[in-house]
Amino acid sequence: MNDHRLARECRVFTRHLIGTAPGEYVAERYLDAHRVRTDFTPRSRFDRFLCSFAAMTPLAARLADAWCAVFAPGSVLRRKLVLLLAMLESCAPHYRRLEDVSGNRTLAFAGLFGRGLVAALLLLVSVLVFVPARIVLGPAGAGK
Amino acid sequence: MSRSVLVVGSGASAVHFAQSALAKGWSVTLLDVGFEGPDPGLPEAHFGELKERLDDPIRYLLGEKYECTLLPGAKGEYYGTPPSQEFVFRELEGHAYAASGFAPLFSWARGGLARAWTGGCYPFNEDDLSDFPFGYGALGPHYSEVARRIGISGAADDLARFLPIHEHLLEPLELDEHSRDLALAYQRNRERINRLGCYLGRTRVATLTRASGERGACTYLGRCLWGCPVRALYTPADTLEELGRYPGFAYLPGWRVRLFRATDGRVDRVVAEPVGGGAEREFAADRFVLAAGALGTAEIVLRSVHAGTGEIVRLTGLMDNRQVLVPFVNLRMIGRPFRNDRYQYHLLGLGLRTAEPREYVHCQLTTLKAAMMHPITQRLPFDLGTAAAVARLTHAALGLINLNFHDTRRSANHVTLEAAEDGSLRLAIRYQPDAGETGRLAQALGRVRKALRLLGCIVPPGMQHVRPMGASVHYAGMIPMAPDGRFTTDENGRSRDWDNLWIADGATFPFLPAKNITFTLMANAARIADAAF
Repeated sequence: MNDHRLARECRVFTRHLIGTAPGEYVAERYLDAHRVRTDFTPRSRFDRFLCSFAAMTPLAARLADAWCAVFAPGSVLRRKLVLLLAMLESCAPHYRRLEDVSGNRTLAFAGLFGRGLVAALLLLVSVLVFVPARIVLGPAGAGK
Repeated sequence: MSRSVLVVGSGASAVHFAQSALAKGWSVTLLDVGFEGPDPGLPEAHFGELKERLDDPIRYLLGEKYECTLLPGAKGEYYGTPPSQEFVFRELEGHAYAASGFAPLFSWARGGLARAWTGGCYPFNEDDLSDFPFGYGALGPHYSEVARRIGISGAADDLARFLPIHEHLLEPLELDEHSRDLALAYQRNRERINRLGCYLGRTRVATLTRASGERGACTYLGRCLWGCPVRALYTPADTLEELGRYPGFAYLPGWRVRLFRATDGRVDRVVAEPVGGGAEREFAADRFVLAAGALGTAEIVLRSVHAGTGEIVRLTGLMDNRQVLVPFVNLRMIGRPFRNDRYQYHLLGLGLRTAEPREYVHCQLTTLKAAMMHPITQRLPFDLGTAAAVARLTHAALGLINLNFHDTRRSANHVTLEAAEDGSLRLAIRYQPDAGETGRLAQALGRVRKALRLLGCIVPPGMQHVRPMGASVHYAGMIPMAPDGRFTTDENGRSRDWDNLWIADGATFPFLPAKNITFTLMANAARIADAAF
C-alpha cells in the first residue's frame, strides 16, 4: 500500500478511534510501522476487503471493526487499529482523549449503557454487511 | 587462611553474598555477562509528562520496531517487557536451550532478573521453611540485614500472619485512590472476608519511602514499569554499585562462565568466554560461589560434570511458582478520574489461608494507573472506538490480581544437557505440573472471586489467564540443601561434590512457597557468607 493511502487510512482510523485527526507525528509513525513490520499485510481477499471498506469513512471503519471484534479479532484490520490505538495512547495530545473523564458516575454508567446499545446495533448491521461478503470472498486470514 | 572468592553472576544472590563476604574481609571477584540498559532520563517527569516531553514517545513506549505493541493474536500475557527494560531479557548469542512444559526466562543483565522485578519482598515463615535444614531463627537476622541494605516498605497488618515482621521495615507507600478504596472496603467486610480464609494487607516492597544514600524516596512518577528514574525501587545493580567501594572487590563484566574445572574434588578454575567472541579464559580462586540463578547455576554444573567425566547427568526437582492473573473491575470506581502519577506496582496483597499451611496462596493486587491500556482495550468485544471509550470510563476501576502457588520438588521436573541439531550440547528443561494442580487453582480462584465480590468488585468472565510455568521466574530446587546425596549441598550451600564450591542461589531451595523468592535469595546468600566464610 502506498504512503498516500496509508496516510488516508491513518486519518480515517484515528477519527474512528478518538474522533479527531492524527497529528503529523502519529501519521509518520503509522507509516513507519507498516514499513518495518510485516503484520499489516492482508493475507486474504476478505482481509483486503475489510481494510479497504474500513478506510472509506470513520463510520465504515467502525462497522468493519465491530465485525472484527467478534468474528475476526486477529484480522489485519484489527491489528492496524490496535497499533494505531497504542500509538495514540503513547503521545500528546491524543492520549488525553483516551484518559479524560468527567468524574460523574451517573453520566459514566449512562455512557456505558448507551455505548453498549450502539455497539450491539452496529454489530447487527455489520453482520448483515459482512456475512455475504465473507461468503463470497472467504474468511479473513485464509487464502489469497 | 584462603581469602579470595570468585562469584558467578550479579543478581540478587550474588551481590548480597558478595557484600557479606567483603564485610568479613574476603576479596571478591564477580564474573558476569552484565548487559546494561538505557538511562531512564527526565528524572522529575511523571508518566504522563513523558508523553508530552520526550522527542519520540512512541519509540520510547512501543519500541524501535513497535515490538511492545501487543497485537491481537499474541497469545497469553497481558503485558510484555517495555523497551527500556528489554536489556534484562536480551538473548545471549550462542546460548541455546530446549524446554518442554516450561517457558524459561534467562537474564544476562547486570543485576540479573531482578532488574525487571516488581519488588515483592515476602519473608518465608516456619511453615515455608519446614523442608529447609534451618528455621526462621537462622534466616530472620539476615532478612533484617537485607532490609537495612535495600529498604523495604510495608506494615504489620493482617498479612503478618503469613509474612513475618523483621527489623528495618520502612513506613508503607502512599495508597492510590483505587487501592485506598479497596482497603476501606476490606475494613468494612473484614470478618466475612476472613471467614473465607482471605486476609488483605499492605504488600512488602523494596521501594524506599525515605531516601537512602544515592537512592531517592519514591516520588510517585508512575514509571515503575519503565525503570524507576530515582532508583527508589531497588535492584541488585544498586548493591553492585555499592560493592565498588570495597577495596577487595572486582567486577568483571563481559564474561559468560561456561563451566568449572576440578581436580580431586576441588574446583581449580572457572572457564569463561568473552561476550561477543574471542578466546576463552580461565579464572582461579580459593573458593567459588555459583549464584547465576537456578537455571544458570544448574547449567554450569551440568557442563562441568560433562567436561570432567563425559557424563551427562540430570538435575531433578526444578520448581517455579504457577501464577494466575485475574483482572477485576471495582464498581465504585467506574467513571472516576484516575491519575497516572502514582506508584504503579502492587500496594496491596491478599493472603489465602490453606488447610496445609505450606500450600498458602499469595496474591498481589495491582490497580491500573500508568500501564498501557491497548492490551486490555482490544479484549473487549466491541469496536475499538467503543472499547476505548469503555476503557476510559472504567480505567480508574481496573485492577489485576496475581495469584501465586507453591511448588514442590518432583523427579519428573529436571534439567539436563542434550545434543542440538549442530551437535553441540544445549540445556534441556522438562516440567510437568502435579496432578492436583487444576483442583488447587480452581479452589483458590473461587475464593478470590468471592473475596473480590465482598470488596465490591466483579471479575469479567473469560479474562483470567493461567501463566505458563517459567513465567514467574522464581526458579529453584535442582541442587537442594539435603542431608546427603550427589548434587546436593549442606545447610550452608556448600557442595557435596566439590569441596571449595558453594551455591548461593535458588538452586539449593528444597521447597518453593507461594512467595516471590528474591528476598529470601538475598537473605540466604548473606546467611551463607556469614556462616561459611
